Amino acid sequence: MTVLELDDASKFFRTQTGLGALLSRDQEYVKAVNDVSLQLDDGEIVGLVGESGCGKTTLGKVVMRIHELTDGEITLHGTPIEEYGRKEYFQEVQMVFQDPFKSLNPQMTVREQLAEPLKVHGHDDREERIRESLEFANLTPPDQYLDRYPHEISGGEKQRVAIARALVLDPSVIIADEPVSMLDVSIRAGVLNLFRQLAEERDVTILYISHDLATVRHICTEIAVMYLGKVMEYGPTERICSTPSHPYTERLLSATPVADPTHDRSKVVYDEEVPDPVDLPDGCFFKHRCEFATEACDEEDMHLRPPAKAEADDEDWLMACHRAADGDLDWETIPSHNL
Amino acid sequence: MSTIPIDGDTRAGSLLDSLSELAMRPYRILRGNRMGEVGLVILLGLLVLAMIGPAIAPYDPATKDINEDGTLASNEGPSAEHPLGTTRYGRDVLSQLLVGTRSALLVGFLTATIVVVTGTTVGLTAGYYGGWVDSILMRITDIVYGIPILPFAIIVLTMLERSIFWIIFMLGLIYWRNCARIIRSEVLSLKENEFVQSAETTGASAPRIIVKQLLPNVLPISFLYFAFATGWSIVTAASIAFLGFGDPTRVSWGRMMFAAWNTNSVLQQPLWVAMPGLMIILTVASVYFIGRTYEQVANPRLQGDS
Repeated sequence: MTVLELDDASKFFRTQTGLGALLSRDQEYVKAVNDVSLQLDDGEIVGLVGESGCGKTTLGKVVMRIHELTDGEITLHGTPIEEYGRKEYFQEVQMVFQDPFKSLNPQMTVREQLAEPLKVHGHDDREERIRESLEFANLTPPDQYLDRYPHEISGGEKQRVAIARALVLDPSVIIADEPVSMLDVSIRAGVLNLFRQLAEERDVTILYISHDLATVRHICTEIAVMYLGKVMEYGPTERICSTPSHPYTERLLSATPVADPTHDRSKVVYDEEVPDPVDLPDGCFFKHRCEFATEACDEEDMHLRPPAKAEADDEDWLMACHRAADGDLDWETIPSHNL
Repeated sequence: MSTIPIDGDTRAGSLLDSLSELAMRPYRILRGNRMGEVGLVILLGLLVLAMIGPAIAPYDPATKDINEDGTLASNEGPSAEHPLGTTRYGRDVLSQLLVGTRSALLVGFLTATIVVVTGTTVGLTAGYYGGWVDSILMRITDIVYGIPILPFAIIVLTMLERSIFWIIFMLGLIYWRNCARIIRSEVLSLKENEFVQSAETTGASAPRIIVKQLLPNVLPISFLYFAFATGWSIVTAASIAFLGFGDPTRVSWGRMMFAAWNTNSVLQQPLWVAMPGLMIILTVASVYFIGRTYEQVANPRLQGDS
């Protein structure tokens, strides 16, 4: 069942604010998120990947109502999110932030951090919920953590506390923005498994935002690849990672480090700059950097379409490239693809 | 930031424990720092004087002492009867000094309370809300920065009433400006921490976020400005009194100096003007010592250069 649905969601930021905005006649916008449509079912972990500046964090913040939607619609359980009261909405949707060193209040004990959302929502069974959350986040026994301050626990434990805090309200959706990027590699797997457990045992829908394909591959059921505010390719994790079909996805995957010293590291380095998100080109945003680009790419818009070669079980597989979808890309001509 | 030692075992205790823990925090910070300890000892001594000063003063500070030959004991030097001598009008300098402690600390602490409450509130509100709220509050702060305090105080006191409470009120109304600016800038950087956004995405109201998330993090700065404002206001109140606009119903150090100057007695009876001056320096130095120590602890970057 669809829990969270984005329908042509867009977020533009003004380049000028305050007095400048009043004086200048032509207002310019940074198009951070551009007509993104996504469907998240219950218990699904969707990975949102892309290089920095592609709008993935902005998208997360739009869903968290930290930013307001410029255009399009986001619905939760079929109801537009603006129709929810703030508390009502955040009861359902919670966020885990990137940096656990900043996302916990240094002046509050673990108990106070977790009690605060419950107090805001007027729950009386605070102590039980706090203990239950901490146990789920593998901070056991909870008594050992309840009265500690953030500076007294490790980075991994901090992020577990942040996850436990997101869980105390028992939400149905969690937005996780790079939740392990600040953590030591040795403890990432444990935190990642926690997210997987959340989806499997509690049916929580997770939007996992990351630039790190290795972690995305580890826990996500579906992946959306973003570039300049657009979804370039969307599909089941296996599909995207084993047979990337969009030229940009292919590039992104080939940039992932491989733990194999004999691996051929030849890869294409782009000369072309990423286009300015204030002044986006017509047609495909990726055409300047794409070796398959033809004149048709100036015309063709970037709506997501199923590839021609899609098989029956590939019904969720979509891409924004008309040539890749038609299947007329000759991958053999690209050096990095022949590894 | 973990420079404040917190004993792991005391924390699980009752509310009373946590309250006393909070009350002891300023002291715990000063402990072990020589400058801070000296400041604290001086201040505690002055506090005791402020409380019992009038009781231990050997004379009524307003009583004129008449010599045996019927003349006024005017501008006398130190003697067994008057350890610090007498004033032009034959009053005991030591008694005035002791009684004056109370006004000085009253002005210092009451003004500092107004300064810290106003400054912290304005700083938190402007910093957290931002936008036009911030613009309006900060422009008001700028205007207050432009007020020259002595002329302003003298005019207002002339128009109203020369009472110690008007002086306190006016000083409080002006000296909150520094506190507000510093707290605002601290809030601006605190706001970037994700724990604030995290609180926002639970649906907590803005006042709740200010009180629960931000206030505990700026309190060390408020403590610091409490110490500074105590010093500023004692000096300024003394200046106002020295210029002759002090509360005429109260004995204060500033008024002692004013009277000594006004009666041309500075050279004849130097203790009359030197002793209150020394007391002002002592009081202000003690709160600055405490403030400096506190600043070093609240700001880790200053640590190690004491």
